[in-house]
Amino acid sequence: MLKKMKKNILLLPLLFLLFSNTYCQTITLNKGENLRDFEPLKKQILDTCFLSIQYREMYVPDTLNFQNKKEYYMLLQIGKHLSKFSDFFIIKSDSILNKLIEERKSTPEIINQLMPYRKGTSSINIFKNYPVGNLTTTDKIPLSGNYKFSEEMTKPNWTFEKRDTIILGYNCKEATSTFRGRNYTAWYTEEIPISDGPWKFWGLPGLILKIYDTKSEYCFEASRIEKPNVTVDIYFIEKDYYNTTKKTFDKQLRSFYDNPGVALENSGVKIVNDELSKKIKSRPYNPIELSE
Amino acid sequence: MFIFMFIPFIAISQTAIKGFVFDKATKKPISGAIISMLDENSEAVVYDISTENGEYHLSFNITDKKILLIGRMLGYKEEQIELETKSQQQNLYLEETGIEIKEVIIKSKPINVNEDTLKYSVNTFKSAGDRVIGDVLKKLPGIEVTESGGIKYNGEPINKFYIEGLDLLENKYGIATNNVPVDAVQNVEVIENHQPIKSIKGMVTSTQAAINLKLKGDKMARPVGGIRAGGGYSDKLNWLLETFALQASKKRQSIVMYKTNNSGNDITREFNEQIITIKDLQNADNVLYKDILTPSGINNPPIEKERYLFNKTHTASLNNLWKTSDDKQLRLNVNYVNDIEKQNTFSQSEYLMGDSTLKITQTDDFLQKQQLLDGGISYTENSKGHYLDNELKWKIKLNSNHSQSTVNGSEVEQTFDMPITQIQDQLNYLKVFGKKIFNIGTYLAYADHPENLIIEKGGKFHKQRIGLSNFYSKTNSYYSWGVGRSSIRLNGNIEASLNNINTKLDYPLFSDSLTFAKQISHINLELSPLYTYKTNQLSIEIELPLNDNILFKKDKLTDNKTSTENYLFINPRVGISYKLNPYLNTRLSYRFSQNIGDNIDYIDAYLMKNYLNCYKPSGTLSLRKNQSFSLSLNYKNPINSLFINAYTSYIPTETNKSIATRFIGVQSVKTDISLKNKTNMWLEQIYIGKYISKIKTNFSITTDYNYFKSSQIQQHVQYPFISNTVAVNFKSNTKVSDTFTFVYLCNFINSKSEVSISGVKNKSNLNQFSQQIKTYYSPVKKMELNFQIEHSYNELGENSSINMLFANIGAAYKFKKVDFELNWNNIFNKKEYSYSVFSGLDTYSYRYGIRPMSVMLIVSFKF
Repeated sequence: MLKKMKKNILLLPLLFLLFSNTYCQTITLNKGENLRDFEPLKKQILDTCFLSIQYREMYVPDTLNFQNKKEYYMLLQIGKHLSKFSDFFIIKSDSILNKLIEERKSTPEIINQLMPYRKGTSSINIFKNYPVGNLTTTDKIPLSGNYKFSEEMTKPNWTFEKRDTIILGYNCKEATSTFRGRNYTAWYTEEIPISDGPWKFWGLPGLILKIYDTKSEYCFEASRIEKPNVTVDIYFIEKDYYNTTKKTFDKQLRSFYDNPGVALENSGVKIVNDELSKKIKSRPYNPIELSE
Repeated sequence: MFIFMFIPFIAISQTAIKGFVFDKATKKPISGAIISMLDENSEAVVYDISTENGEYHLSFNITDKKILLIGRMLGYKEEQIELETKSQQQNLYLEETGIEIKEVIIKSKPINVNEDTLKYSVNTFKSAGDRVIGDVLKKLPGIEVTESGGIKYNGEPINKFYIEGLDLLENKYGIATNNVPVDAVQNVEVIENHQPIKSIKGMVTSTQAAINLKLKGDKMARPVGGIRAGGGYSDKLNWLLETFALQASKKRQSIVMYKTNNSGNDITREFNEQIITIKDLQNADNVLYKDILTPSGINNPPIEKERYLFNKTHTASLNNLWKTSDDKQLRLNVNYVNDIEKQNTFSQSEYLMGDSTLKITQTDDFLQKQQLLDGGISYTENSKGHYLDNELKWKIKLNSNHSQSTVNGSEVEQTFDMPITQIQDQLNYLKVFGKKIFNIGTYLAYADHPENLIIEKGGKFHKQRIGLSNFYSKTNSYYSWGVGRSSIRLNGNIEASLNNINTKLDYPLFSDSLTFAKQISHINLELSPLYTYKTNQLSIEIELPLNDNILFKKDKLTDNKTSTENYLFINPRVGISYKLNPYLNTRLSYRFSQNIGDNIDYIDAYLMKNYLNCYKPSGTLSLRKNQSFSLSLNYKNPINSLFINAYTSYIPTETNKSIATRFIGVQSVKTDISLKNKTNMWLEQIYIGKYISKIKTNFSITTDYNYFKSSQIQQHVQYPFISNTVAVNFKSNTKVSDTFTFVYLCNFINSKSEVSISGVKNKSNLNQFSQQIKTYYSPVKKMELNFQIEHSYNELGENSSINMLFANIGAAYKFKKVDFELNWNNIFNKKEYSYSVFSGLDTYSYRYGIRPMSVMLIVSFKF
């Protein structure tokens, strides 16, 4: 009897070894179980870019911790009819994504390739003169979703100053303005006769190459000016946007920073005890727009 | 008249020049051109930017005779026109030249590939009440920490917990979460999408994150840790002592810990094995031993454990890791737990007996002892080319349980022992060839877990002995490929086990079927193809698992012959998700499943489960058929902060067996009989959440409805019954400021049951309500105060109910090296907690002894 039992014991591991040899040899890496498959981006082409300017954006997220500065590399793409201001690395990753999908790359591979580009980027997109006479913004609120809203193209009320300087080899003149609660100093160049600039700034008789607020909490400085030598589209990515107004968006963003725990809870993460929700502190919030 | 004459004069001094800007060749308007006007000194006076149709408009007020109008646009030649200073219409025609521009490139910074690591500085997140690293982890965005120290990031369990990049504790990292002092840690790093196996990094992406603790530089060279000691008084002296030391260098790490208390702190749960991969959900413990006997013991009433836990606990842990080379490491972990728990209960049960009811009144004094010695030794090679991991684990656990009870006036004493010995080995080997991966994993385990129950009733001893040992192995693998929006995955799974079961009962109530001895081998082969189709809006999943269970049984008491059984099942599953718009999501799913019971079904002998219950399985395997239909709707409107989730599901189940209960005196005897048993279950849940930013408050309300229809056989009569439960849960959380939080919770439960007794419906109804207020206030940075008050109203039966009130106050103050905590618990000095429940035909009412009012002062020293 004992003999027979021993045989049984030996048989079992042997059996599954056989099984594993037939079934578990090769795993191609096409499909992650929990990963969402990538869809090609739905791009709506709005214009062709004839000049792109990269700006280094620096800002202070927390006014109580002034030393801690964050930075983004933003890109202003100028077309004949409109311009787009968005994160340089997002644009890069968009083009890589479409290439990877064309090459039928697997989802994990795509994620791995895109990850370095997507981390620490800004989700804002600002379209000036789109639709005509308006400015459209799309942005993302963490744990909430993508929002889209339009506002009138408000021209900052510029005052011309006497000083000048040279930025990236261009002669620049100084202008100042108060815009949405902050006082700004802008340096623009008449050598590039385009009335545009980073973020929502425009309306000077030349391109803005540097602009900062007097409290030094926000600063945009051009770091690269390029004329594309191939056709570069200025596109709008169709997503499931919440169509809203600037006012609602600002309110939503503020409540996220005030009480991120709520956003977390409503996004489906179960917050088990109140101890925890108490400890999710409000985040410092220092928006570029301090007033309407 | 005079005034009227002046108006045209003023109007004349304001000069206006307007016109359009056109492309010289195409005659199309140019928008965005800059039109400026210079005076005689070439100073810019005004400018405008041409609109979409090329229009511009300049108005100014100067005395110069002549002005210069300039039109400029990138890509066009600058156009200048000299004009006389007077209001006029002037169009500009610009000649296209192509863009000539000095291109300037300042080399942008290299992209940091490691940016998927989020670093959090502990100093920014810690507050006065925080003692261990778990307190800070809770506050980091997206992180949840359970009582046992388990961590989830964005709702998913983490897959590694590192200290200085080394995995010292594996799945028992709760030891670190609950003990590493907050002051020793510089940064917490959250590594998103962490793939711990180096060779497949970049090939297989993980969705799970890992946590890494970066210690402060000065804490690396010497051990860090602390001593925490406390004393207090309730009805007796309460004490608490905890010592912890961690040494972490690049080559070697160790943690040494000892903890003890009798003050109601459950320190055993930090030894829980945390879930680190999905595979861990199928814990080896679940397959290796299923308790057959259920000696009544410590129960968990629905209140916080600290209130009813009467304990005396010692735990110790020793963990060592040696990094033998860059890719190789050796680890040894040993844990010891010694835990004694006591509980006093008074309970009344009512059982339906045809026309009458059987009432049992009992008091129980439980004493539960547990000793656990477990550990593991593991060796890992994790290099760029391959991955090898072997882990040998053992566990020795001595469970004993003693109760002294009176049942309807007569004394019963019960002694139960269950010593568990378990040894397991898990080997994982992975090698990469180009883009393909070869992976093999084996899992082997052996467990021995006899159970012994002795009952003394009226001077007589009754004994139940069970011998149970298992040998178990498992392997799993898959192969998958995708085509366009579709993908197919083939999953293969094989499990094999060998089980020896024997039982022996010595009880005069039964004259036959007292012994059983069989050897059962079980092989389960599963092959499951999964098809998925996905678009942005729609996702369809179809799974068709094919499951073959082969069982060999050998009767060791009689003929020693082997008989074979085979069960082949297909358990299909379909799921469809559809996203109607950004606000609304729906999901519809259906599942049909068939499965077999476990080895206990084969026991065709009487089992004495405890001093009140006996059970005789039928000796044949039970079969269950089960369907599930479910529909969920998810509405999310962040614009007005309204969130609604609704879920409904209908689950009919059919079993080929029913359990029949009969009573012999107060002794219940359950037997499996061959009678189909159908149950219908209906579940509904609605969640509504709303945040009102004006008052910084989040409101949520959850409503659950449960419908359950089945039948139960008692004293040879089948009674159909229906039970309904409605539970409403309301919560409001107001964060007045970062230093003050106010939480209100309330909970209402209504249970209804309806039993048909000879055609007549018999209804009963039970209500429970509880509410709670919690506040946290931190007047200065080093200090935190908390206050908690809880009220509960429980109906215990018809015309009988009870109101209970509990309150706690606590304060914590932090100095540089020493911290103080003062807690005053159960201020109203309540000594009992009572509640009732329905279960099918029967009603149970319980009264538990709880910890009386207590005051405790705890002092912590850090080194």
